Amino acid sequence: MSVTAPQSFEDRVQRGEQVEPTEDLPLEYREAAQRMIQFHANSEIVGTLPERRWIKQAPTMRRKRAISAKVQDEAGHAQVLYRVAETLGLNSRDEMVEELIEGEAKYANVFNYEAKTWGDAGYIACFIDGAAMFRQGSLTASSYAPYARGLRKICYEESFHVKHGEDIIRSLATGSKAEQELLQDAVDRWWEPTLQFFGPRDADSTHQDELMRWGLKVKTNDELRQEFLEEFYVPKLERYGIEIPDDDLHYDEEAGRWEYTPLDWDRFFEVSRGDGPMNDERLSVRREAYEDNAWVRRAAGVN
Amino acid sequence: MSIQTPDDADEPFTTALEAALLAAADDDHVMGNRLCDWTGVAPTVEEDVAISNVAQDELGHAEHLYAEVAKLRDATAQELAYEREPEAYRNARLLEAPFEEWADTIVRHYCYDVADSIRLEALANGEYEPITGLLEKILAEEAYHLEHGEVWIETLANDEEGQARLQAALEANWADALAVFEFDGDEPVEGVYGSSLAEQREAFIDEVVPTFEAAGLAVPELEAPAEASGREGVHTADLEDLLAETRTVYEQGVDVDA
Repeated sequence: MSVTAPQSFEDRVQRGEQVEPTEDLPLEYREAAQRMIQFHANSEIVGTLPERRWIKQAPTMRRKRAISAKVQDEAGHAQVLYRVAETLGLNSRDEMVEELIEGEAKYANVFNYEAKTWGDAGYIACFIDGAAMFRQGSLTASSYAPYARGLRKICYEESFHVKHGEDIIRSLATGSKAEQELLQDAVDRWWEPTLQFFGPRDADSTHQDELMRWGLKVKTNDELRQEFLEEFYVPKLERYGIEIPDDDLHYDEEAGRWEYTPLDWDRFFEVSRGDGPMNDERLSVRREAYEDNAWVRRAAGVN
Repeated sequence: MSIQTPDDADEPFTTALEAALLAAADDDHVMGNRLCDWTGVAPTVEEDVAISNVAQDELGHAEHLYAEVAKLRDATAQELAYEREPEAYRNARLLEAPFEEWADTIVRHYCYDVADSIRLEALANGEYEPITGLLEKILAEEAYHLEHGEVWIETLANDEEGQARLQAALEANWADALAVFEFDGDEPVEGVYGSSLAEQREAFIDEVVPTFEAAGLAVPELEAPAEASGREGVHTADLEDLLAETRTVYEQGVDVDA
């Protein structure tokens, strides 16, 4: 029965079952999954843009090769994720790419900030990719089976990015005063966008309840933020002697959670709506590349 | 006859070998850095992965070739890659200009990969044994690059606009492509390569001309330019700009190997 079918489907995914694209998936489910996976795919491809300049500027040949491999991986992740999104049968790749360059589709806010220094290059690889691993690691239990499968490979590669990033962090943290300052400056500027990487607070998240209900997400934004602080961010910052740029950060034993100065969520939503330092730059680079190469895609018969 | 260690070679041989390896390393270094111009902005997401993969390979080849040169002269690989003046670079000029247009990129990429494969094969057939394993590994990766370039030549040539753009790119780059086989005006010492530069250039022409002609392109009636080439250290401002960009962090002394 069409009325009861979605309910039984919801029970299945709530029990932790994963579903395949060949099944009779409720339209609401497809739409929610589409939005989430498209956001993720967009984030991977836009995520190549803050880092690409550091391939040329990397200070050793070994770093050059590692960061080139990393950026290539990100493009590969976008490729996998767009393909997964296509299995939902709603949007074609071209439609998704066009929505991105028209500014109609969102991607992770964190890529709307500038990677200004080599310290940022190391920071992003270690801490942004580290945050991504927490988020994506949880999503390997997502109810949409092709997404969960794709993420297992993606997480495997992200773990190499984190190693590459941590190696740079270690080198800077144990280096000259100038190198330590470069690293500290990166942490000071990225602290807030990094914590905001997990998305709005649970209470402010528009789509979270729906995604949880469909089993597409299995941990909330706040849960992931806490896990990341506890298991990765704070221990790594402390290990490398980096000053945490929030005097109020502390673990509340009673509440069993990290407390910190409230993040500027108004600013988060402004950046999300297009008012970040690099929103226009990111989109115009993608748009121009897409337009300049329309003839190549036509010649190759890909659209 | 074969040379098993650097100490077995006489000085003229070592000097010529070092020049040949340095030219190959500089080519790959410049090419790898240039190919990164497409990372994140390639025509399709698949191509973003493919072209970035080629770039990554070239940077890896450069890293290893610099390490071989460093064994022959009193310098580290890091110094070779980051501390020489542009005029000390021995890369071919074919690789210097930024990659901004896809047909131009494909023509230069394809010509370079054919030339590089022939050159590395000739080095592998030379007398210096210590580099044979490395060259075999590089050549195996180059086979993929060659295929990537060839497929794009065919693909673009099947489109009217694509063919016109390829023709323009071929005319703009052909003389520089032939100049890949220039070398300080002199033939290198015998035994460095298994075949002469003239023979290598013939092999290059025999390989690429049929590919271009099969794609309906007219190969220009041009010789390599008579003026001094990149192999003699004469470069364009594009190389100076590129090298300056690659050195910004290095010159700050940040995250540089001890």
